Amino acid sequence: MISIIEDHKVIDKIIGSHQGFIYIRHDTPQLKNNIDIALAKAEEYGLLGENILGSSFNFNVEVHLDIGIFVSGESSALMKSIEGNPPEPRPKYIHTSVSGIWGKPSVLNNVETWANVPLIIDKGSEWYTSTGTERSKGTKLVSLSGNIVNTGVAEVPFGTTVREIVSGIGGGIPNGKKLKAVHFGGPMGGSIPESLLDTPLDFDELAKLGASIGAGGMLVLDEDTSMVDVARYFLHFLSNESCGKCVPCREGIRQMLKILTNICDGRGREGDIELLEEISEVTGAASLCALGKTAADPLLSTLRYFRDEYEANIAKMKRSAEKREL
Amino acid sequence: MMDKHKKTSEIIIQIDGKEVKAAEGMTVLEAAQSADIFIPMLCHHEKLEPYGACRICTVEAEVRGWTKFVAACLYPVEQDLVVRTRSEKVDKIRKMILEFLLAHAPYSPQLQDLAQEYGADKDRFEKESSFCILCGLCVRYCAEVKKKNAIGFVDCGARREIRFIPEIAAEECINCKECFPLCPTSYLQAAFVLTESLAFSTDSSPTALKK
Repeated sequence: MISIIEDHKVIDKIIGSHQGFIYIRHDTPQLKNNIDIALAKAEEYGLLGENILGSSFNFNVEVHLDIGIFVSGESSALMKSIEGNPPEPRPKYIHTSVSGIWGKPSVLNNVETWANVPLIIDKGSEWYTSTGTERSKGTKLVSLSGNIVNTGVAEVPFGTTVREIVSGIGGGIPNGKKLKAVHFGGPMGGSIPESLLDTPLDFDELAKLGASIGAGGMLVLDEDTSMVDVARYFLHFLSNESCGKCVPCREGIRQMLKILTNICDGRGREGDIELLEEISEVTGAASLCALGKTAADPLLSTLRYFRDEYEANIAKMKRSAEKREL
Repeated sequence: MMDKHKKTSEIIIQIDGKEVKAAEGMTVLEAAQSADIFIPMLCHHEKLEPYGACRICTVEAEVRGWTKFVAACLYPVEQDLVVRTRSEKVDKIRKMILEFLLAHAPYSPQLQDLAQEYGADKDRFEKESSFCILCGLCVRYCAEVKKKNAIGFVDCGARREIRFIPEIAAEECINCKECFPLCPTSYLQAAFVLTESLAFSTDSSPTALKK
């Protein structure tokens, strides 16, 4: 925590700002408590507030809770919400580093990124880059959940294989089940199948497989999981968590969710997969913000590796319809 | 805001193979309109701030070899920008956007005209009788031009809808109704009548006033 506050100050000294914001989820009161304690301590030690350590540099940090929908985490929506406006993203044709909160240049980074900067300044870039892979340096906080023995957050060096994380740190799959897939990056991320588990934790390597690391969420799925249902689950989540402003995102998610629900309920039809792909192409290209642009990613990645499950679900339906006709 | 950025420096861009002169701070839509190149729009209105919600004005923009799909109503012109307003993918995007919206408002004349142009099938997606396409023209007109905020968006995502705020609407709307003709569907008037009959207090309702 101190590391984050320290870094806030470093960056803001560099860019000449006197105000920092920490934006957190509304449903994590414990987190807010911890941050408030850390901020109060920092102020008590003279590390925050007016005239920091007699340097005549002033810096304050304000904790902001999100509005309660997922899209609040999108950079421009987040800034609008700090201003007190509805969290609707604006197009990024003008960067937030040029015009952000109240039209002022604003630097936004994940707290994990901020926390790394004082370490790099303190110990040097060579120390930092000695860990990791060619293109992904240092460590990553991953959050393990799903069908895994040890759930929780772990700091892992980049380059560790997904298998090592799942069976080592995670302690494997409970109840003697086999692993089916690991889903990265939450509702706009992607899954990789068991056969690709030796892939190293690396932004580029995983992105190539259609599974962006994102904020580090790793959802472990065992053999009993329906991958069609995983895609449906995430789209259902996003259909309530997008702002609903732009048509390709709002309506594209609505229609994809309908089709996926039909497939899951045994009402899938031939041509559904092609229609899903067509809709995802439009939402991906034409949506206003990253939420809409990547909303179909879990769907596309499960289609990439588990297309047979979609086909089997639809074929099952076709067979039972034929039976009824007989 | 827009005017502040408008400088005299001239920018040459290319739209559909035609050279178009534009000024810094202009959007692609403004540049296209100045050259009589048609780009469809549903949520755009000259009196209102560009909004970028309907995405029907999506065009293909090529900058330094990179091609991306952008909303013409918001995308700022820059030197050597190449714009294609009717590429295969642009038409495909517009067709599907129309099909999405026709599921809500199949008989909107504005949507029907565009549907004909882009070959959109009004029955492609299952009908959802919300009638509103959430272009926000009414909401933004009331907020930006009239500065009354008598109508607003409520809820988010798939549940987003427009709603009159009875306390304000009862005071302001009866003698205004300037947003009615902006609505591309007939939903706005219906929403107003519904609010009026259900939620206006009796002493301010038009019938009460006549008494």
